[in-house]
Amino acid sequence: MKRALPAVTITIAGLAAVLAFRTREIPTAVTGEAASTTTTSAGATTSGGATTTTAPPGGEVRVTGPVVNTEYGPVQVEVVISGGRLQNVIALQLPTDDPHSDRINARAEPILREAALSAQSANIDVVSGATVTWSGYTRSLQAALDSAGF
Amino acid sequence: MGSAVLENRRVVKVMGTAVGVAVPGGCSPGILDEVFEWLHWVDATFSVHAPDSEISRLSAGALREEDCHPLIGEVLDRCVEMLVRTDGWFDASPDGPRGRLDPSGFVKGWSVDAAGAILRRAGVASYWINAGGDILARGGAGEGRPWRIGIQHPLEESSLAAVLEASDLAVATSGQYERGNHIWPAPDGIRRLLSATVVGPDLATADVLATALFAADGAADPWFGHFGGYDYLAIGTDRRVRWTPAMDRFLA
Repeated sequence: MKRALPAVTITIAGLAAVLAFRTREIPTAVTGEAASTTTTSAGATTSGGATTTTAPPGGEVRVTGPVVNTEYGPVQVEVVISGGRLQNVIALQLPTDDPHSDRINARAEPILREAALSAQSANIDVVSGATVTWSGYTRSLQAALDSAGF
Repeated sequence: MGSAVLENRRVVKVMGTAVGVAVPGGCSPGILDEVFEWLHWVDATFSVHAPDSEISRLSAGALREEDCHPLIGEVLDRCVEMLVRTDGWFDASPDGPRGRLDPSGFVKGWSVDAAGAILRRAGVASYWINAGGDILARGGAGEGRPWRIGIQHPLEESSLAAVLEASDLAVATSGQYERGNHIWPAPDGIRRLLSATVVGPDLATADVLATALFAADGAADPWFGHFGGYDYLAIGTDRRVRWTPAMDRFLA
């Protein structure tokens, strides 16, 4: 009996887990606390810091992130901040060293951009389900945001 | 090893995807070298796309299983075990027992777990490894902060469907949007799930369960419950998110 008990407990727990769902409507966006302590990459190989290119009063601020050398090649992004919000992320450089890399980039760039836009406000470390890692992208992005004091 | 230079992020293209490793506390580049050497070895040994990989030669009958690296047999045994335990929904050899072998759905998570063990043995307590959207997270983001892990919204690239907070967790997501139709169509042709995210202690199991759950279109009863310690969050074509109650502790 002692040996049977855990099995019974596991089965009941299993059934409960399957039958008693929590549900909710899928959100259109998840936002959280404003990002304040997003980890930056001290070891990033960069050339030069982020540079603010334009800063009209009350208007749009564009900041170019540093070039981050990943094993795929250099990555560099520009961020557009307006009204205190991150409005857009533009990939200035993404690796295109071989056809496979091209394929990755074709899918990666929009996902990276959009995921960055939503995740930035939620202070996300990493995203599950996105097809590519966005480490290099976020390194350049974070440097640009840090430089903008965002 | 021996280098004074610390590194805390690296991304490498391997196993047909991008694998990223983040170590917030930093570690010697030599440790990350070791991690990626392992992953490249796994790729070369288990790639079904490389005709000269051991798995391809075994598949083609040009190599006997006893002449393969012992890890090949171990992986194939685990695949068979997973086939049985998922009620047949995870299948590494769809054309018969060890006929045309494709353990890829198991190998990625399994090799990332082993990569995590390399980091742990080197004294790295906090890290995440992201293999094409499947994540092994350990320790935390620093200063007592847990990792915050976003779940990609399956319909809107601009959104996350949920955010998880955890110190030690493996998170795997399967969905139609990932890589086209590499997973089976729904059993009855009417798809109910857009994506399935499974969390639990190790990524090999979480990844297999996410694949199986998506292939089964959410028909998880009763096999899923037999995997102790694993929970899931499924996003339906009705735009509803369903999750097992124990998942509550991770939902931010």
